[in-house]
Amino acid sequence: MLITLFRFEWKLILRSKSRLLAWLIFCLIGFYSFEQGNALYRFHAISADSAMVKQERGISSIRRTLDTIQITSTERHSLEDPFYLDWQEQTVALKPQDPLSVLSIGQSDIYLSVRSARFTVPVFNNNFAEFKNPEQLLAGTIDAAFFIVFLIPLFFIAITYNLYSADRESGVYTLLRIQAEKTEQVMFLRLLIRWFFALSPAILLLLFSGMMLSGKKGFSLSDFAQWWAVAFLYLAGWLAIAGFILRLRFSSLVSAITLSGTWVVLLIVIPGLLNTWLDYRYPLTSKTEVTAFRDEDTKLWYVPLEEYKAHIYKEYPQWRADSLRIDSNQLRTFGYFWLLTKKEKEFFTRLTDSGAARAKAETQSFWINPAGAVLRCFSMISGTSLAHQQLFDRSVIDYRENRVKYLYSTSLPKPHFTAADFAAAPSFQPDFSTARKSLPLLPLLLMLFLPGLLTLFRKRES
Amino acid sequence: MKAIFFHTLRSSWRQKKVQVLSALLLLLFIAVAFNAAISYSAREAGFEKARQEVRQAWLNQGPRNPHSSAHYGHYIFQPVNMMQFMDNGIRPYTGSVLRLEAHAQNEAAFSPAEGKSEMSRMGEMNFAWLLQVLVPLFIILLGFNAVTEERENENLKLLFTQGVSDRSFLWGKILAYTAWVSALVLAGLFIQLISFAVVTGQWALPGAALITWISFYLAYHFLIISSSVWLSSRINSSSASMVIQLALWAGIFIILPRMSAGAGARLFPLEHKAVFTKALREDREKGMDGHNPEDERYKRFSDSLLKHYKVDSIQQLPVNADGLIMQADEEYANLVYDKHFQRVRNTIRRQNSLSSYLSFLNPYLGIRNISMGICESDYNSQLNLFGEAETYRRYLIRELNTKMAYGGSKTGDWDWKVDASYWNTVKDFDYPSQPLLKRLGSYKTEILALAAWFVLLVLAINKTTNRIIV
Repeated sequence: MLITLFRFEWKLILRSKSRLLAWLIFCLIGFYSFEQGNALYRFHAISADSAMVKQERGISSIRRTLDTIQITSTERHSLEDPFYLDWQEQTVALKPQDPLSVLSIGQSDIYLSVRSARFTVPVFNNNFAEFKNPEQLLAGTIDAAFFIVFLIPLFFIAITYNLYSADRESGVYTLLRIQAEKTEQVMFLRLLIRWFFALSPAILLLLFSGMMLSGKKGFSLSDFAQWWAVAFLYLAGWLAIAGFILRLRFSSLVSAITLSGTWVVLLIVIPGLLNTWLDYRYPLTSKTEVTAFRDEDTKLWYVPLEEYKAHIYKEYPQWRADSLRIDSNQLRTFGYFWLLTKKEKEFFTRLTDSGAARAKAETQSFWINPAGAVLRCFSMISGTSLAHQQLFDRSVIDYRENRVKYLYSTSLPKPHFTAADFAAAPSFQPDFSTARKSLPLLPLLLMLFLPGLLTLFRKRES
Repeated sequence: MKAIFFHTLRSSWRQKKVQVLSALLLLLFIAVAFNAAISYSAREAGFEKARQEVRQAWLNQGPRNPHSSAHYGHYIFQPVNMMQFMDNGIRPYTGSVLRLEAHAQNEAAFSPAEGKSEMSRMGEMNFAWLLQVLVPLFIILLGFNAVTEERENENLKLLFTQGVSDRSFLWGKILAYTAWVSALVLAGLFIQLISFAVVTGQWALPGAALITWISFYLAYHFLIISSSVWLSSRINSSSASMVIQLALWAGIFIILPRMSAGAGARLFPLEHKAVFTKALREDREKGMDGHNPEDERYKRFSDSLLKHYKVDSIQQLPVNADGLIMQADEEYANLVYDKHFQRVRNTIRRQNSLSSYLSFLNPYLGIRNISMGICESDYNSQLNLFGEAETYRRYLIRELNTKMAYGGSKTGDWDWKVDASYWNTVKDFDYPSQPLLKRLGSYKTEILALAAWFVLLVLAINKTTNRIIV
């Protein structure tokens, strides 16, 4: 029966020029969505590469100089001053790009993927922030995630809304009822075939993206499989919703209104209202804290040397004995930058707390916003989530503090800062394992099973 | 036409579908109004607090070297105005804080979107968004069967045999729906204004801007209504009309804006920051380093000063040469920054011009831009704010350098400090709202596009005479 129905549906598709045209358009949008993500991926890769080239140039220049310093000389080269070394090195911190970010851009067109790791430059000076067109950000992009979440359901609705009603309105339904097979079974199989047809642009995109991304550095097949599993789970949810609404046996018109109304409510109204409410509930970026940080910075510069010393000797008690040998200006600079990186951390925590609280509230709202849950799953898998970004930013700030401590604590007590000391300096290695917690799949399962249960319940009733 | 008009209004009033949808729309208006009013109130309070704190910090610097103060700098915050309560535009995606300091033109940092997750990209609801996107959907649900239903009920034959012309039939329908939708929209506006006034306590409203803004929306809705009714007259069945119009809605409001933004970026790509920084640095290096006495141009400038004041050494100068040198460096840097930032801004303008021209195809893009322009939440207003902020920065640094040069200190005396009372003589930053006509002037293409749509639809409807399928 399945084959017969498949042939029947296939003929219907071939006869309908508008359906074929729509399919073609959707396939093209699918490829376009991939290209959009790929363009941003390439853009970020170029930014990262140019920052790295600059850093490498600085590093090799420092290495060359340090290699030539005469260890026997009592005079210190200017490069042995951590402040100057930091300026010369142009250290940057890069957020590793996951190849799957091509599929779900998320907020990665807004987040910073390159940050200066120089402790002599305030972390909030976004020198590496690429130029952005705010109107473009407002409009958004068509990436694969958007294609799956918004467009495929729309295509599915357009080809299924009159599954029952068209037959009834054309009189075919009476013929179906006198067949040996149960009408419900026939209709379910036809719905399934149409679902696969609506899915076909996504399947093509899956194959294409698999082919294109598998060659990229850092590609993980299991993550890729997870991404697409979430996508198909979500689309199965739409199959369940459509099945439930179509079983209510409305006319074509009412079915179209109900299905498209569900689409609008699930993808436009609920997320829109939730975002508006969350904006009010969790306001971001306190402007006064930005200015407070500047004032803290200024105050720190005027802290008495004794206070700096007390702070430094707490962690390096052995320096107390050497205090006469260590340049007090250097101690002051060390104390200043060390305390400044600590202030940065405090300030950053205050700024991100609100964002993290908002993200948590969003997770709770996924029960009524399954599309948001899908986007969260996508961004978590592809490393473009807010949690990933905050972890990256925090790692940069930690790294800056470690660098200040390492460079000064290695340079100050010794007669010379050597090439070996420079080579042993800590490198930036963020650990994103904590950013990827369990995926919020339960709301998706609810989206899949709730309409199914309702359908069963209705069947028993009838 | 009058009879059709009243009949359509009456039947709309009686239809459950219309009653439910209108009630839902009004509920959304209410939800958005109170949410926006409370958020606006918090934003305004935050802005005012931050502005005052920054000014107080400036005034309370105490005795200090003017150049140290120039590095301490000043902050400018995104101002809020009542119209942004209606349409927030691009503000979530632009930096909210701009640091002004000596030697450098910074970019605004801390955009609200930076701290949000991917869910925020699913859209935020405000009154303008409802009018731009959801009201057209409501119009489609209202008007998709305006003609098809009459045809399916065989009413068309009756109407036409009674002498009703196609044209008056269509205009009757269009005007009735326009009246219905306009009433709802005006009720929505009333709700917004009341909630704004109640929550913020501000009853003085920018009348001209508000009237212009809502008039554009009413005209835009008229275009959507006319298109919907016209399409209904050209399509055979109600369900086909519904599906086609919904597909058009998705294309116009969901897909095309994103595609046009993507096309703009593809056609006029923005340069990488690394390229920008390199070009800027190279040009900057051609100028004078105000902090480096070994710099060749620094020396030349000092020599010219010695010649001007007819003295032999810098120390004999009656002025502080450092202040003058730093100002000369600033003047040069300003030219360099203007040249490079202008290039980037021109690229962004070119990218945005694509959506302006595309409003001839998609009126949504037109009304979106006009609405943001009137509410001062568009890119032009952003540039205007940055322009004003930059003018203020130049004034501020010039004042400080002048004080350094002529305030009584000697060259090289970086420990010299001005009296604490000096800071009060430096003006605070003030950002006046741009005149409405000037704001609208940037959107001539969009206004022309909406006018073209108007003419086109009127012609199409009038041409439909005797062509409606009975």
